Amino acid sequence: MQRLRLVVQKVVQTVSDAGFIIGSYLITLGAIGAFAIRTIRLGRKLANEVPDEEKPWL
Amino acid sequence: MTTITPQTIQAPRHRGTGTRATRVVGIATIIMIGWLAVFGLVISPADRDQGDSVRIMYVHVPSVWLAYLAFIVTAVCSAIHLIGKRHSLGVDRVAGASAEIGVVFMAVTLVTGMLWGRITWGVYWQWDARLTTTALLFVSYIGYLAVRGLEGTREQRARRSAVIGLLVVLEIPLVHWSVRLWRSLHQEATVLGTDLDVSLDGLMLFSLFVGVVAFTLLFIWLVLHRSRTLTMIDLSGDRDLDAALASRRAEGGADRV
Repeated sequence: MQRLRLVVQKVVQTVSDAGFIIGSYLITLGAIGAFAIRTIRLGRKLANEVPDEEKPWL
Repeated sequence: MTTITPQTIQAPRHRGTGTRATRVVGIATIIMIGWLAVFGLVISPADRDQGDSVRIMYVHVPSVWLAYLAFIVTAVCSAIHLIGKRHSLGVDRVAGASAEIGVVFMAVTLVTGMLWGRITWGVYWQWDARLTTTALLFVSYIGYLAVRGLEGTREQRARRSAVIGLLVVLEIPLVHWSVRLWRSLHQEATVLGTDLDVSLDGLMLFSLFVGVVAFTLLFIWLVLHRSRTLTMIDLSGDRDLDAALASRRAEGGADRV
């Protein structure tokens, strides 16, 4: 019984840590990805309001 | 001979912020982020003391380095704007874009650091010197972005924010050295410490290197797109203003008649 409890504790701890670890990657990529998508969408929207000849990068 | 019908006539499609260079950098970034996930989560070994929580370091450390880099780019562009003869607004937009990206990276640093702290220290947050100075740096750049949004001409915006950009960057050495200046829970630099000795396993160091390269490419890609978007916001504002002035002049002319 004691051994089973230790195994369960170990599994819970491992899964919990895995949640934090995978969560940190998801938060990182999610936050930066959301910022990137917002920037691209705004850029595409504004692209129709500004003629190409006024865009110095083209 | 092609017959022109209403279906074949389309409004001209204007090009956005993307170019061939941004596409190349974007593809390289996606590949490197894939490598980072594989190395960070699968291939890299667990640490003897920290266990698997060390895997968080492969996103936490590159994100803070890139936040520092972004804020330094903001400061350099601010200095160029103030010192340069042309007082270029293009340089000011790069400063603003870089600060926005730095704030995103800094927010990621704080959140991933909290998750690592929960596993390692048992708490999400401590009012420790490193954590507190990092939070202060984050809030300072939120303030910088708030100043950029204030009323005024673009020249006023650029001048005000350039001065603030040069002042707040001075917090970075304070954050970096806080673990030495005060007693801190946070560990000292494992890579690039004062003795320049790297105390990391080869595969761990390589995973960290992959993270730094991936985030650096991501930063370059984001700065290019964001600064071009800021340029279009300004150009679009000019066009709206010109249209409003023309409309008022037309109204004035009609009143006189």
